Amino acid sequence: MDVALFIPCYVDQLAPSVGIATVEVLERVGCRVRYDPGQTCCGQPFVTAGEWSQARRLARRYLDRFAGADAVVCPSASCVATVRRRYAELSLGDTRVVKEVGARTYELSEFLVRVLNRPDVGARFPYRVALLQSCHGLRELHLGHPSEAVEIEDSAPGPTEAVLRAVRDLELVLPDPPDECCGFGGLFSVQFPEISTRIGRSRLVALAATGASHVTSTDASCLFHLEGLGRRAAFGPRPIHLAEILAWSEER
Amino acid sequence: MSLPLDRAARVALPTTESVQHHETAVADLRRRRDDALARVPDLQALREHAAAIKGHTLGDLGTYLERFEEQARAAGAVVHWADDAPAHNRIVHDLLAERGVHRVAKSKSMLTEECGLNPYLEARGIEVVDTDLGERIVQLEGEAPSHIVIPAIHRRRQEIGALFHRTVGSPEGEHDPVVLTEIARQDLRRRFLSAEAGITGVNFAIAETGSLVVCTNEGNADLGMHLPSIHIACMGIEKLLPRLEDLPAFLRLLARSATGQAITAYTTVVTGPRPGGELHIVLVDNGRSRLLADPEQRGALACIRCGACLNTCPVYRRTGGHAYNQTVPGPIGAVLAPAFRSDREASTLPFASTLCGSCSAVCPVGIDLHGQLLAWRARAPFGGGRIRWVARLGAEVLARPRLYRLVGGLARLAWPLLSRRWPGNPANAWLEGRELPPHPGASFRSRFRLWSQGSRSREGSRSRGGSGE
Amino acid sequence: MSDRARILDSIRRAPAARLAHPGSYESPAVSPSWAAFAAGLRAAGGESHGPIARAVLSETIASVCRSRGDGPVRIDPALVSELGPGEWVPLDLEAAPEALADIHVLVSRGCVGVAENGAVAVPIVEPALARALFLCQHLVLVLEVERLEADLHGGFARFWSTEPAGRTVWISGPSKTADIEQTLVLGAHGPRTLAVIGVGDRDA
Ligand code: SF4
Repeated sequence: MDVALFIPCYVDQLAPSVGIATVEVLERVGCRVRYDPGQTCCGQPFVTAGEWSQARRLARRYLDRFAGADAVVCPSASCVATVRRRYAELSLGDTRVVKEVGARTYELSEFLVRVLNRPDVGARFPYRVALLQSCHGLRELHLGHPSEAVEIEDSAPGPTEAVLRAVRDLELVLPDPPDECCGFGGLFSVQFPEISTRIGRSRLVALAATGASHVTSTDASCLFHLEGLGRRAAFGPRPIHLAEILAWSEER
Repeated sequence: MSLPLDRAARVALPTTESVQHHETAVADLRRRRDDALARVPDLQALREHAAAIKGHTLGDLGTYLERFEEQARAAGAVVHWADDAPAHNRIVHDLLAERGVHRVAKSKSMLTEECGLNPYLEARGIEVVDTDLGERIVQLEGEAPSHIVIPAIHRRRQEIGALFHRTVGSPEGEHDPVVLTEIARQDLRRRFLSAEAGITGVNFAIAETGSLVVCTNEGNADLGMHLPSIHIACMGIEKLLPRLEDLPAFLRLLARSATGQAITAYTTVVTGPRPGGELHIVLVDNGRSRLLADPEQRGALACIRCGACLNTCPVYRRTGGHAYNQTVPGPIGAVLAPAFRSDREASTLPFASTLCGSCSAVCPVGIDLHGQLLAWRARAPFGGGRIRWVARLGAEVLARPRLYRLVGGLARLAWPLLSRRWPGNPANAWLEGRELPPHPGASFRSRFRLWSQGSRSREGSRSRGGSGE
Repeated sequence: MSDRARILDSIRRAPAARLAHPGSYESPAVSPSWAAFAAGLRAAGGESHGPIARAVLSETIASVCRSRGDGPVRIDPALVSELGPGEWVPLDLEAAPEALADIHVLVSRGCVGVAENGAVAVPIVEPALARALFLCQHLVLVLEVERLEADLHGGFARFWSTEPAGRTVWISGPSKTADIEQTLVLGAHGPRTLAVIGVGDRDA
């Protein structure tokens, strides 16, 4: 299958290894990966900042770049949620294109499970790993069952959990509470640094309490936040992006 | 760059211990909510039904208000209308003054908090006793409620023990909740018996019958409305429901969402005054009709004040309610703030959210809280701050891939500098309590170029950092 | 312009968003059971007795009252005639509030019970009864087992099919508070305990 890669600006610049890992995983499951260097940012920071006219510019760019793709895969749930859920609110004109591109833009684990039906990508990662669910992944993309949704009886794990459970020798654990926000929130983390770090520290404590050596997430941004807190406090499990775990294979 | 709530959080919950205490207490409420709702087999249908009733009622509110007024009158109540808080306070005061009332027992009502009724009456020589235990605690402490359901949730038992020792003469060092509650019971019972009027809030009002519905666990509202001969009920105009038959859906959701109880201990339906008594109903607008005219934001009027969105909010949990500096804190408070206040601080509250969406997910009446926060942000970017040029600049860069690459490269060079705190470092807010990640090495796009040129260096996926550009 | 006219006018000028009323709520068909009611009541901090045969009602009431310790017991006058001979002191409907505050146990009648939450509807037409319900130290309600509904929708429909809107309180367990550090304390302002005695012979 042909796959267009969307590597969001912050992954491109700050977590390039996550991008490389994503390519590795996709190629391993037999995808032909295209990367268009004309891409930059989906516009998420501008949506959350309320700068919708700027957000529109970037959203239009995104739609132009990816309108022709059968599948766009992105290792960041919050960017995918922006494309799929928030673009519709920006009044971008052609709502059909907005809908279509949104529906064909996938978060990595979502793509592996819901499109390819391949939760097992042949990875091995012999550690205890705590999953930090991305809020946008969880509640906007339904990559798992949020703990609030007590009415959902379906107990099959969502895609993020499914791909992790398929990794050999990986012991998956969830913090308590299982899916509270890490406190990053993009712009929030700098507009409310005290609150953001208060939340993050308490998540870090909960994650450490699982005894995990690593913490993983679909979103590198949440991991930056935890990593930054952990490094300052010299405490907590080591952050590693989901794609990096999936790219870790037998030969290592 | 940090916004008011961030600074206020340090005052409202100043120590790690106070944050932890608040966080635990509030998270516990959320857990109880989960347990209680998980036992409701028809939960999803129930929520949709409740939301639909609210949507319908708000869409035809004028008709329902008139019908309510007509029915309440027919049942013998007197209905008053107040455009704003001063009008509300004046009406209540006049009613009390005309009857020579000096002592009032008041049960929990966020509306009277919103209107500032207590100070208004006290300044005019009327003694108001808040009878809900939590409200009584904050009243004696001289502060506002910090939670809409559990007003003194931010206080620890030791503080309450010391407060009662100072104010109602409880034994020094006594802080057992059972003993303190008993002391409050004795003290308040005396006051109930001597109160000349009762003021209550209203949880729901029924247009079809002109009835009021009041929910409490303590029974304090009932003592306030059944003991004195005058009962004044103050309610926002959004509290209406069309029919009595519409009420159970809300009652089944309210207490479960709030405290995890299946229903509050007392749900009192009152239609007209009791024999020989007077019932006055004050219908208050105070900005609500303006909110109703705002298609993006009117959804907030469906709120039944269960507090679930506060309890689940990662921000509220660590700031406490007082940091919000307004009657209703938490996500719903942040949604209401810009609708009711025009100051700059209010326009920053919609930013006080990570947009994790948990609030919208717990709301029993389906208010899209985080969506409404985003909509507010679009009206006042950055909370009305003066840094819009940063956004412009950022967008200019991001719209030009080559410029973007250049800026990325420069940031990479400056990385060691950005990682340390110095006056004027743009990364300072991040560096509060956090480090920057280690130097990321070459950008993805440059690595991918190498990759597709055949030198498939697998270096990148093994470890972050190291290689440099 | 009066405040009333201003408010209604401003509401009417709001852009219309007419949405249909969803109609009556269809709750899942569950038949009410005393066991479920008892569980709901227990969760609310109350206790249930029975269901008992009508013949032993007086006896049961007397024993529940005794278990509450010493103090004046008052019976809702509407119930007295049903109880037959005994030392029942009916509630004085003319009593002053101060006198009502001395009641140790009040026994009254519940009209409809709801299994899902242990709530019991008590009409409060008489002001003295309304006060006594909240001023007494312990409350005992007698409920016909036949008048039990599975959920609140059923309870409301049942209750208001015969009663006027009037004044009613739905009581679920004793008065309670958790305002001090989430510690549940029974008897905040009103009754410290609530017992519901089921009478009749529907499923035990
Ligand atoms: S907005 Fe929803 S969750 Fe929040 S208090 Fe109101 S009804 Fe409850």
